[in-house]
Amino acid sequence: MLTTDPIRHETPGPAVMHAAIDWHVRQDALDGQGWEDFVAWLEADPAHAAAYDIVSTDDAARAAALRVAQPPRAANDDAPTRNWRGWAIGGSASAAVAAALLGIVAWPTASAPYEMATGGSPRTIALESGTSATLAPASRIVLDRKNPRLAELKSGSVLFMVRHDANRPFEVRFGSHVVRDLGTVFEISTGHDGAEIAVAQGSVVVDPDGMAVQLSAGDRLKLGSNAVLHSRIVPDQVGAWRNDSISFADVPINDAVTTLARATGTRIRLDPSLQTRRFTGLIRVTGSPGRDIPHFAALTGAVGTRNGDEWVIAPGGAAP
Amino acid sequence: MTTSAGLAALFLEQRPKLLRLLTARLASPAEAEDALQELWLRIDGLTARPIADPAAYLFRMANNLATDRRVATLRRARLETDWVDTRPDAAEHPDAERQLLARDRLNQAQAVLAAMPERMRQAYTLARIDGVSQREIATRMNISLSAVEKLLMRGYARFHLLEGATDADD
Repeated sequence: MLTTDPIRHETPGPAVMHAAIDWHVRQDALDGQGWEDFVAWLEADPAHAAAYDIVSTDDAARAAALRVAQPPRAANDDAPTRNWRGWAIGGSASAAVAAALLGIVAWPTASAPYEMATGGSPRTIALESGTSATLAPASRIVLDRKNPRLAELKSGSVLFMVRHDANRPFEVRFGSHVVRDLGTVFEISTGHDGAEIAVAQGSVVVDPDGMAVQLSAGDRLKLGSNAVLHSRIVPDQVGAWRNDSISFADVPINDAVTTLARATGTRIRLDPSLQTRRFTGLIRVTGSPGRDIPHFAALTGAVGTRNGDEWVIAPGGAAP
Repeated sequence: MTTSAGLAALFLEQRPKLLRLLTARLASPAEAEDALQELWLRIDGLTARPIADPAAYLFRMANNLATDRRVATLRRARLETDWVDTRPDAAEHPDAERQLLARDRLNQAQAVLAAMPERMRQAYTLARIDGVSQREIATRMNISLSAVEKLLMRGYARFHLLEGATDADD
């Protein structure tokens, strides 16, 4: 299977693997000449390039996996761990106070709600085996230590990956709505103009005791204050804000802007003259809106500027 | 010291060398050219700020870009970089095997990490989980930069099962 990949054609031996690791670790300290030596080493033998490819891609994947796999131990440990600075984790006493302040009245009596919030970067919380919630920047969610199958989205966007269990439906509440999973990966976002549910995989039911609309992979439902709008989305784009670089293939530019807004935890207004455009391209998310938004705007031939607490993307030269 | 305009000028000057790096790292000359174009766009979008060693900075950007692309390519090809593909119930989805593979590799990485000597684990965790620079790790751990490099190199060797026997031996 690996032989279909041109870079992985060769199987490097241990000595070459050690050399690749040395280059990889020393990367931070290399000067211009060091980089030229590195290129010469890569070119010298296909096994060198193969070894470096294995070391570098494994490292990227491993580090990302380990970061996700070490969630705050919310169920049995109130203290934030060293690795998870930036989490707002309430102890059980303060969680109860927070719950009272937040006006959570609908939680079951045997519950132990606690709140999680993100600052500038996304975070993944493992709720139980096979089920996780990934919060976009500037998002808030209330979870329950006693019931990992219940979540309440307070603000922002969250991507849920849910292991389906017919006897224990997973429910997300937000505003006056309920979304019940039928085994799935889905995202819920709240914003100033309503909420949105998008399904990447499997299906969900929205408001099972009310409108009971079932959504499947690629379905998106916008819940405004007085209208419900259904549209389609490429399933890969659901929760795309989790990635450091996001590629878009011929999507409505509004979708790309929405993803960027979630990735950076900001509000972005798109000039009406750009609304009908489509976007193809790759954007990299550094987490710094001051870099990412003007960069994205430039890719579309427009200009991104900050205006109070929102960003505006408008044609170059035009005042917003 | 340079600004993004200086970086753009340097990019044009270093273009052949950057292309060589990308060609060595990526599957085809066409993809290398494509990545070089992407690098150019990124430099263009950078806000001006001083950079100590601009040439090294460009190479590092190019190399990281190549790694990103390789991770994406391998993932698309469903080769072996799917570390955590947390999908719903395996029984309902055809890529259960893939998910098992991912979980297996993650478990193995966690086992290797747990079996590391304390200082090695500390250096690796700071570098790759917390994203602390090697120089800063040296300061925090009160050791030299080259000692940090050695700890990390030995740590990576363990992940690739090159030394330090772990419970997995395939």
